[in-house]
Amino acid sequence: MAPLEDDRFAEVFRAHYARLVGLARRVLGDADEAEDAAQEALLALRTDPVAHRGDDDVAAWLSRVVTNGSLNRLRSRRRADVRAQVVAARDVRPHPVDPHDEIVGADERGRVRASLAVLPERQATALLLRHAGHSYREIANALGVAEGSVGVLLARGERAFRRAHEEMTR
Amino acid sequence: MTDCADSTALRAHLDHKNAALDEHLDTCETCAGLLLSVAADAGFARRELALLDLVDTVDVDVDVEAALAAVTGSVRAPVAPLAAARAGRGSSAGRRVILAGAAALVVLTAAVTPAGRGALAEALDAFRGERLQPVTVDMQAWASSFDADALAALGDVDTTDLSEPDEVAGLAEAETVSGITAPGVSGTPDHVLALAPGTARLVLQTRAGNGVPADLDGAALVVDVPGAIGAIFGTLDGPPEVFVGRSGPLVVRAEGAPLEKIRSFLLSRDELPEELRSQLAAIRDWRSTIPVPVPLDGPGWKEVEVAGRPAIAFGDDTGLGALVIRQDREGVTVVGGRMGVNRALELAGEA
Repeated sequence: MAPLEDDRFAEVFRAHYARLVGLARRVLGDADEAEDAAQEALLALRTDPVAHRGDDDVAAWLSRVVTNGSLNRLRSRRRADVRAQVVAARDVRPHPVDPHDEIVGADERGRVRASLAVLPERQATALLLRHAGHSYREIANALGVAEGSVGVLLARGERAFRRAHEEMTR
Repeated sequence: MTDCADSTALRAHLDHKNAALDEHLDTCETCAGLLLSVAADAGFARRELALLDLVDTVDVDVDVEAALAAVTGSVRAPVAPLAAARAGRGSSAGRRVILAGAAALVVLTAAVTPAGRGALAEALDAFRGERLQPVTVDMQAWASSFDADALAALGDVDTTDLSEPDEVAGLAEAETVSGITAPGVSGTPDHVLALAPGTARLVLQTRAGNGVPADLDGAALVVDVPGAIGAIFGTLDGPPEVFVGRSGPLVVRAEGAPLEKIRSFLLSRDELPEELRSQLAAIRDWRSTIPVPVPLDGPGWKEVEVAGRPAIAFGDDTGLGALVIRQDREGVTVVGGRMGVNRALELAGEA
């Protein structure tokens, strides 16, 4: 199938870029890396057959790809240097009020991200999309599963997330 | 409603109230207890994930137009014309030259580099494989667009120091040939292959139409191909029942130009699919990370830990085929065959 035409690509890019950056920032914390993740997803769309489908399918596909891509980056980062994500999280905190709170908050966000990183990909994606305000239908569309399966992914994901987080705080 | 609900229905009930289930919960202590457990997990996740919302309270301050220009600019980046590159290639370039060139390209583009990381590696100006990272590749598109001829036209590839893997009598002989410790296997393999370590050199040459800039003319990539051992249970003529392989660490050095500069040049080549290029560019520890191509539409894969080391597992539990790749300090271990992924993970833990 032919790559997306330049005009259509620009249209899709403008429609989704900021939203995808926001989604990636939630996972990654780092603004620059979030932009990289969003751009990767949009570039991947350009040559993917889904690009020629309707807007809902494109939006769902982009949500999944940017979330998966961000989680993969997070896992790599975690392996490479756990401290780096704490620093990254600290860097994007908007209004630090107290140095102690700042460090505690950054550490906690680091634990949240590390807990997400060990979940199976679909569960982590379902959690992230749900907590970013996506409906069950949108999540089902993004993951390519039946809407009735979203509850399974959320229930299992939340249970696994809690266990992973508790392991890390021991 | 009389039937008890499972955690799935109860989780959905938290988001979308179900009147019949609500009625059931009034009379069923089991379901009410389970609902409390599900709600506790959901509440915990909601509270913790809300910490990440702090990030989103900042307006997403992105310059969409600048990003679009940058992205479309990178897609249209000028590269060496392929037709000219093909014309410049001698017809005698052999399969090994192309393969070695392709390997060098993959390794070096793996090394695409955000600057300023890996001070030690920077000083040595070398790539040394120490960890793995999956990169998704559209194999069909790659196969139809990859131009090995254009790659071979970048310069001269010397593979005279490389040998082919040979079948040897056993693991002891394989260790002698390869210079590495054999992987742990149960039983006696039907076949043992050994590859001696060697060195390949890709010397970039500025030629008409091949796009190599003058300041890289004569610069070389030296690839220290590690010794390797493969233990095979089953036939050599088809998919083996079990394959256990190990290789030493892969090292790439640059001569005559910084490794980063050579890598940047290779990344600008049109032979590299954009999607792969962006993934390679995103590798943070590029001087020590081996990208593992993962087929976009191929078997499922997941990142796992085997014996405390990160690994990548391909396949499922159908038993049709599975593969586990594990990186450790000594090199890469690969275990696969006609088995389920759980069995492959067990064997990888023993190898």
